[in-house]
Amino acid sequence: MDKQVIAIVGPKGGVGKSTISANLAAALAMLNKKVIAVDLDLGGANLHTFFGIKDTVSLDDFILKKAPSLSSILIDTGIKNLKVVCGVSNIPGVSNMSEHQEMRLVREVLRLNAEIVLLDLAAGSSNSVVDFLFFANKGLLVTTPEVNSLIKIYSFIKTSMYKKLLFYFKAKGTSDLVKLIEDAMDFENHPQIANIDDLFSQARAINAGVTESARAFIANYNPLLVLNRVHNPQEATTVGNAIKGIARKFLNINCDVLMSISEDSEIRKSLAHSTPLVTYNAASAFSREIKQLALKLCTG
Amino acid sequence: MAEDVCIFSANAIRAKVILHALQQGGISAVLSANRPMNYRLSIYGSDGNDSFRPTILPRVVIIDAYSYTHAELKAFKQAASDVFANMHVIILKTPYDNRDIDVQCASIDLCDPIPIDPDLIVSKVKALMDLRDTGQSQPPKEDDTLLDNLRGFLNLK
Repeated sequence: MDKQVIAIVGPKGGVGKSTISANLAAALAMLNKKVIAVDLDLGGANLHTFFGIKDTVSLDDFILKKAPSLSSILIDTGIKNLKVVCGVSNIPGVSNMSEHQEMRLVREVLRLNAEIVLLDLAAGSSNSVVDFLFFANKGLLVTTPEVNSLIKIYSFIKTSMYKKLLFYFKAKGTSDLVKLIEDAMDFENHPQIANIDDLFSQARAINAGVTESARAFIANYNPLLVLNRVHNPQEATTVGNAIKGIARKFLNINCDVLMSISEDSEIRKSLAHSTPLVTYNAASAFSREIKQLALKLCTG
Repeated sequence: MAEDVCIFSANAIRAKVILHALQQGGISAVLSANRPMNYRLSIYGSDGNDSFRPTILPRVVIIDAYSYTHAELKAFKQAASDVFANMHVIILKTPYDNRDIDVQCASIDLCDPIPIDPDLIVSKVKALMDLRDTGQSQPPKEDDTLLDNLRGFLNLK
């Protein structure tokens, strides 16, 4: 079965990432897709609460090797076509997973029997978040329109872009360029490589051929944003133009707003009922927009 | 002095619940005449020369559409014309109310909890008043303001 892996990232906490994840998973399932949502917000898992799931097996059991596979800890959500792997809750330090543990998880995610696997990743831009984002077929960056969220989004895009270049240079076996990008990611100690132009300028002096191919490679990086809690269309346009303009000017990449989701007071009620809003009130503005997002992801 | 908020509702109990919640939240508010046909005079008083002059210019208007019949709401919209053009409007309705209740205004926000949620209304009003305060102290070019802020905070030259 062809599998689509969708990662949901929220560089700043509290932007509604898990709300989007739970509702998007439910909306995709309602489109007759076989969906599994995996809560990989390892430090603050709460996806299960959107489905009213309590006292159950979770990633704890998989990480501690009490459960042999992710398939063995799948939980029914009560929504047709949708199962969930609940997050970790009780292992200290689990959010700093080793590379080996990460790879074990990735392998297991790929083995899941579903048409769509939706990963609800942690807030921030830690290595594991960026790694899981790259591993997915599609990554959605969730933000609210406030400037503090947008700052985090920009920083996340920049960090992920540098990490993509790091993988590229490693794959090309160019150790000098790997060292350069590692220095660039250590902004404080290497202020002379403060932006992407500095980076490419110094990289060209080291290896012009690989640098040019890396520039073409990274130009195709097209982060997709989901603007959450938008108050009106004008706000969505303003924020979309701002972040797109800055990404184009300072990172030389395209960054598009895939969907704007309205602020909706119905969310609070659905949370109180431990039910995704798309099933609790399918007619609400939020539900309609989430369904549009699901359709875009299925068709695009 | 103008009140911050003017509430239009045909239901005296709902109107007073909203009024009380706003006042408890430190927001000055006033109830309009409870019939929409009268509301224009509640905002504009005649100066005796058949022209209107503003007597109450609220920053935010709350229209309790839920309390009005279809005919009353239609009359309200016709009478409203452009009176709310520079004001923020919050409309209270049910989630399943399909009536066209758009009015000409600076911004419109729908609020549809049942039963009425006074805390939500107060938070919406406060957000709108903050928005308006910001708008009064800065030029109205939101794109430029956001871009300037982002570039400033991110130290992008």
